[in-house]
Amino acid sequence: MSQDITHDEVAHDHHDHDHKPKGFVKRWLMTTNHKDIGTLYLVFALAMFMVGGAMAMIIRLELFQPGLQFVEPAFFNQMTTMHALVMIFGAVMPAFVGLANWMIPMMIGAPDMALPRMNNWSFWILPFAFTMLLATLFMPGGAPAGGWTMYPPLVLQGGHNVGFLVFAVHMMGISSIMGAINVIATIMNMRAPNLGYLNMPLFVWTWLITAFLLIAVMPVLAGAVTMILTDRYFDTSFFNAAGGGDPVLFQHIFWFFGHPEVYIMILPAFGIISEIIPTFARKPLFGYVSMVYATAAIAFLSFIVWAHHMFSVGMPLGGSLYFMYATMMIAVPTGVKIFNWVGTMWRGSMTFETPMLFSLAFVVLFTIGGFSGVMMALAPVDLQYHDTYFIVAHFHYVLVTGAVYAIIAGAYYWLPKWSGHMYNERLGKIHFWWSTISVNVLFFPQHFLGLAGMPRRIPDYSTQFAEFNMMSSIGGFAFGLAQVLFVYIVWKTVRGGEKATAQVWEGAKGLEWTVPSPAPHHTFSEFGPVDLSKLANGEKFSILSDIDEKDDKQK
Amino acid sequence: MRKMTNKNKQTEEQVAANRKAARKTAVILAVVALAVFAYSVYVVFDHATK
Ligand code: HEM
Ligand SMILES: [Cu+2]
Repeated sequence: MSQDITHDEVAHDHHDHDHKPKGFVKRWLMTTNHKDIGTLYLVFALAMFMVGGAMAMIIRLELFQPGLQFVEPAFFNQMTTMHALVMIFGAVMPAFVGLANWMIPMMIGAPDMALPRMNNWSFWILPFAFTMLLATLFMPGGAPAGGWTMYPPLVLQGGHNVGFLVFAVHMMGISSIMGAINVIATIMNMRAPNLGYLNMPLFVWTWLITAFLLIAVMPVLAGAVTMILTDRYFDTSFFNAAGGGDPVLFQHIFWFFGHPEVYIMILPAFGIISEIIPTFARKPLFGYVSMVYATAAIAFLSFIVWAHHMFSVGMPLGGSLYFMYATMMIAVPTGVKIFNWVGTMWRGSMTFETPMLFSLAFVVLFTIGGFSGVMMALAPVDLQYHDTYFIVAHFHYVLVTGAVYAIIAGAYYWLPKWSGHMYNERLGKIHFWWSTISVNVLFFPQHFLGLAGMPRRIPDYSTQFAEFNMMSSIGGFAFGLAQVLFVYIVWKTVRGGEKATAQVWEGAKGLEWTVPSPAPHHTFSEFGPVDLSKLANGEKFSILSDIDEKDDKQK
Repeated sequence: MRKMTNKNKQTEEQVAANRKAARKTAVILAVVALAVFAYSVYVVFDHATK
C-alpha cells in the first residue's frame, strides 16, 4: 500500500505495512501492536464505564427518595465502593493508557511503543484483575463496602473480599506501573531524531509527567494494601490500634498515593484539551512552554498536599496551616492552564464540532470543580464540608466533567483517525447537550446537599434533603442514558460512515494527521526525521533544525 | 546517544539501538518502583515497632 497523503520521509512506506495478523488469538491476545493494544484498552475502559455506570444508577435509584426502597444498606455500601474502584482503576485510567498507546507513538514519529511485549502484558493483566474484583459481588458477605479509600479498621471487617480486593489492586498497580514505564521509555528513547522535548505535543508532555507520578505512587498504594492483607490474614497489627498499630498512618500513606492519583487522572485530560482547543480555534496553543512548566508544577505540588483529605482527623495547627496553603498553591499553575486555553481561543476562528464542545465544557465545568476544591482546602471550613455531599459534588465535577469529558472529547477527536470514518455530527451534538445539561442537574444540587449537611456514602437521608436528591437522581438517569447514545455513536462510526481524510480537521496539526485515516497498522516504520512544520509548535522551539540549517550553509 | 541529524535516515539498527536504550530506561524505572515499594513498607514497619 502506498501512502498517497504525504510523501515526505515521515510517512513514506515502501512496502505493504498494513498486514494485520489473522485470527482473533493472534490479532488480539498476542498482539504487540500499539494501536491494537490501544483499542483493547479503550474497549475495556468503555465496558468498565458501563459496569461502573450501572452501579451509579443503583445508587441514584436508592437515593431518589428518602427511606429504604430498593436495596439493602449493606449492598448500597458495596455499590458506592465498587463504583469508585471500577471507575477510577477500570475506566478512567485504562482509557488514558489506551489513548497514550494509540497516540504517543504516532505523535512522536515512533514505529511503536518501546517495549511492545510488556505492553501486551500490561493490558492483559487488567481483565483478570477486574474479574477478581467483580467476583466478590457474588461471594458470601459480598463485595468490599468500606469505601474506595480502604480505611482500616472498616475494610478489615469485609470477610474474604479483602484478599480479592488487595490482589486486584496489586494487579492493577503492576499493570499501571508497566504502562508508565513503557510510556517513559518510549518518549525518552523513541522520538524521531529531530524531535526535541519542546517539540512534543502537549498530550505527550502531560503523559510523560503522569507516568512519573504513577511510578512514584502506585508502589506506595501496593505497600499499603499489602499490609492490610497481612493485618487481615497474618495477625500483624500495622494499622490495628489494639495491637499497637496506627490506623491514621494508613490514611497518610493512602493519601500520599491518593492525591497524586487524582492528578494522574487529570493531567492527561489537560493534554487532550490542549490538543483540541488549538485545532478548533485554528491557532497554536497559547503559552506552550508555560503549559509544560505548569504541568510539572502541578505534579510536584501534588506530592505535598495529601493531608488536606485529613483535616477532620486532627493534626497540629502548623500541619493544618501548611497543608491548607500548599493546597491553595495548586490553583496557581491550574489557573495558568485555564488562562492559556482561553488565550488560545482569543481571536481564534473557532468552530464548534463535538470535540470542541466537550473541551469548552471541560474548561468551564472543571473550573467549577477547582473552585470547590479551593473552598475545601480551607482547613476550618473543611471541617464542615468533609464527608458530605459537597465532596461528592467536587470530585464529580473534576472527574466526570473533567477527566471523563476529556476522554469523550478525545474519542470524538481521534475516532476518525482510528476508524477511518466521521462520526455523525448531529448525534454528537445531541450527545453533548444532553450530557452537559443532565450532568449539571446531576451534580450541581449535590453542592447544596453537602452544605446543608447530608453525609456521603449513606443509603437513606432525612426528609429535608428530598427535593435536591430527586433532582440529582433524575439528572443521573438522563446522563446515564446519554452515554448509551455515545456507545451507539461510536459503534456506528466504527462500522461505517463518511470517509475521513488524513488531516480530518481543518485546523489539526501534528504528525498523527499526516498518516492516512484509518491509521495503517504500522506507521513511521521508516524511523527517521519528521517534518517539524507539521507540528503545531514544531519550528518555534526547534533548536536542532537551526543547527542543521547552519550546517547546510557551511557546506 | 543517537546522532541528531536530519541527513541520515535512521536504519533498522538505529531502531534496535533505541529499543536497547529503552530497555535500560525501563530497568532503572522498575528498580525505582521497587525501591519506593520497599521504602513505604519500611516506613510503616518503623512506625509500628516504636
Ligand atoms: C484546585 C484543585 C483542587 C483542590 C484545591 C482540591 C482539594 C480537595 C480537598 C481539600 C479534598 C478533601 C475534601 C474532604 O474530604 O474534606 C478533595 C477531595 C477530592 N478531590 Fe480534589 N481538589 C482539587 C482538584 C481535584 C482534581 C483535579 C481531582 C481529580 C481529577 C480531584 C479529586 C478529588 C477526589 C476524588 C476527592 C475525594 C476523595 C475521597 O474522599 O474519596 N480534586 N479535593
Ligand atoms: Cu487531594
